[in-house]
Amino acid sequence: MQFNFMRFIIKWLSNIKVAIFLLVVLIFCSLIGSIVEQTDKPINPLIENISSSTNIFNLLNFSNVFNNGWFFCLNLLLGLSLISCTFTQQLPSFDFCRSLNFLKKFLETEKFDGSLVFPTNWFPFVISRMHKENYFLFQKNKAVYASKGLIGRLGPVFVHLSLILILLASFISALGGLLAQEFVPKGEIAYLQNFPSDHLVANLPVYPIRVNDFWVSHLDGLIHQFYTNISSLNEYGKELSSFTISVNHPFYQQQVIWYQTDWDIIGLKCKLNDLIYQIPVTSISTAGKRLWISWLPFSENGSTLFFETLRGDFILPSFNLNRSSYLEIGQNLQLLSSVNTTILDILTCTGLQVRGDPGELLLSLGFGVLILSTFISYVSYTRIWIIKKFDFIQIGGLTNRAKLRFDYQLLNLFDSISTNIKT
Amino acid sequence: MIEMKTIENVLGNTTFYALILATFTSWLNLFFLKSKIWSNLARSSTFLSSLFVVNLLLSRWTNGKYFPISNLYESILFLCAILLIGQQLAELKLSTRLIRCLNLPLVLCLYWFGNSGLPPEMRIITGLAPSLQSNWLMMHVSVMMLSYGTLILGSLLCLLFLLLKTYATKKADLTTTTSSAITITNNEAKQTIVETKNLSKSLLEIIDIWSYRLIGLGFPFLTLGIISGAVWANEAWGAYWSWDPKESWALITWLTFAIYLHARLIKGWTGQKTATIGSIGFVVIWVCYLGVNFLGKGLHSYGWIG
Repeated sequence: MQFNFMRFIIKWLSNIKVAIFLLVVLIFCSLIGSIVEQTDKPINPLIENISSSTNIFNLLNFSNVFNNGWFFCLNLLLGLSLISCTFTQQLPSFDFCRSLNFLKKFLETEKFDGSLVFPTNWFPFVISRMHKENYFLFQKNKAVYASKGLIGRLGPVFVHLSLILILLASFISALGGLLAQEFVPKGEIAYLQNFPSDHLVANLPVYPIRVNDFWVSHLDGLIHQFYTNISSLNEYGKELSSFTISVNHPFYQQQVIWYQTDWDIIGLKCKLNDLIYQIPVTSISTAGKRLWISWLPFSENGSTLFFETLRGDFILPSFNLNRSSYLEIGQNLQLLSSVNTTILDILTCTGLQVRGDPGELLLSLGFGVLILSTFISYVSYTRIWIIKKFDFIQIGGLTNRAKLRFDYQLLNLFDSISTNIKT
Repeated sequence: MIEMKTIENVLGNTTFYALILATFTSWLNLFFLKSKIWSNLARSSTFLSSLFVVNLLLSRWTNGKYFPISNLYESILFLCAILLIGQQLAELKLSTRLIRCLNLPLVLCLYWFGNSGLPPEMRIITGLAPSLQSNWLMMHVSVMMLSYGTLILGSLLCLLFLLLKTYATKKADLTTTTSSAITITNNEAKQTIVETKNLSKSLLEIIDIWSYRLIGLGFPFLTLGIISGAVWANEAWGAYWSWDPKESWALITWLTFAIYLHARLIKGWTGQKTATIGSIGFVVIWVCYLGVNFLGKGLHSYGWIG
């Protein structure tokens, strides 16, 4: 009873209609996910307001499509469908005994992509010609079955297998992967502990790191790249290794990868006569540009500062001074008060991300196989049936991809025979 | 530098006029089928405009000193070049002038949008953002554009199929057979070989087969493009897949054409049914390529419009 049920489920899953239905549902999920604003963090159902869940939007959690129970179930179903299709549909079709269907009687020619009729005495030439063209040939009495491009038939199997691998790998990395993000001020020692999503904390590198340096390079006035030099320390604070990362150049270390993701200005070091102060800075972003703004409480009305880059130049706007001035670090600000004010340094912090992915190897394998197998699937799989009759032989061929001018190719295949026979 | 800018402007304008000329002449050619002049004019102006677009891209490459498919404007130029070259290759193999009539207006619209629809600051050569400074840029973007090009051509043929089909059912006598008939030079062979099937296929069948072959080719390229993008994203942002709108739509495109191929290979559908799926794919591709940019969010911030 249970076995029958399982068999029914597998049969249902391997059905092409069900598989396409699953793909369509996945399409609609992606559609919703791209239109409805997505929240990054998985919403805790306990915190969520219960009264709002009457709405169908909230009920299905449309604002968080991709971190959802039902989305996970959908992927699981898709994976199961792929597996069952591979094992119940694709692999059995490679059973040669079954696929060697010799034709006793010729089907109506409309079913073939190309068909020809030759005189009977051409039969040996036809066979040798096909052998030369690397066809697999099978003969049974007066019927011949030939195939070529079996690799193109094998391709889709590996497409499915690699998709299963990719799904499995992302499942593994979702369960066992670690991901931590942190803004670390330059020169500080920090532990990574800020998790953007609820991943396992257990295998996080607990040892601290020190951000030795952070700098930004410019090209034609635009930010070109930003770099962080990091030392990883042991439990006694001794340096184990040091490395420099930048965007697009992460650092691989003991199964975790260090990424440079972001940066920020957090404060200014300011000198008033002989006293050194630290002044906070906030950032404002307008039209894709980031600006940092600060306020010096030293003069009567105070004065505002604007930073655009990390190059050490800044602007003192004019609305509380009689003129706007463009200044650099180390210059005397010449405020109206009698105090000598100088900006000594810009305090920066670097945005780091650490990721460990146990599914990485499997994923890479899946990617590689998927690329190869989709290209291999482009190879056309051709089958040709030949029936020898008393006064003529009939040839019919089917191909799954290169249907264009297949009949012409078929004719070309045997073109040399006619010249052979003539001579 | 000013000289380079004028060269760019001149190239841009001549491309535009060459495209207009090509479009007009190819449509005129449709009405005066016999005339050699229009056909030759259309063909040569298509060739010239593709030459100009390629030169425009090359001049931007030397001028900006970075791979010239780094913003929306340049990707539009690249896509125009691919579509034009693809069209000419298709014409070599497939002797129909209909692809030209459908493809050229499309390229013209695309080029016009790139030149006039985009705000001028999006056409300026600027430096690359830190996340774009990678060798993956070349690979990912060019493969993506290549797949867009082939898939757009393939699904355009699906659209053409549907158009002709509805036209043909209205006017039943439009089963014009094209010149794909095979001439057997050998006289003796002609006597002995009996073709059991009419070798000359109808235009509709040829369009159907061609769209299948093109989509079949574009699909692996799309796969390669998406995966290279995922690998690159892992290097730049530390995540293979972030479900940003561009990625979601690329997945939608991939799934749509996967359905198309399954309908072909497994269900054995042909003709109108698959052409319908392909036409849906045509819309999906354009949303993926341009439509998503109107949303103005996500990681693919190379060309937000509005």
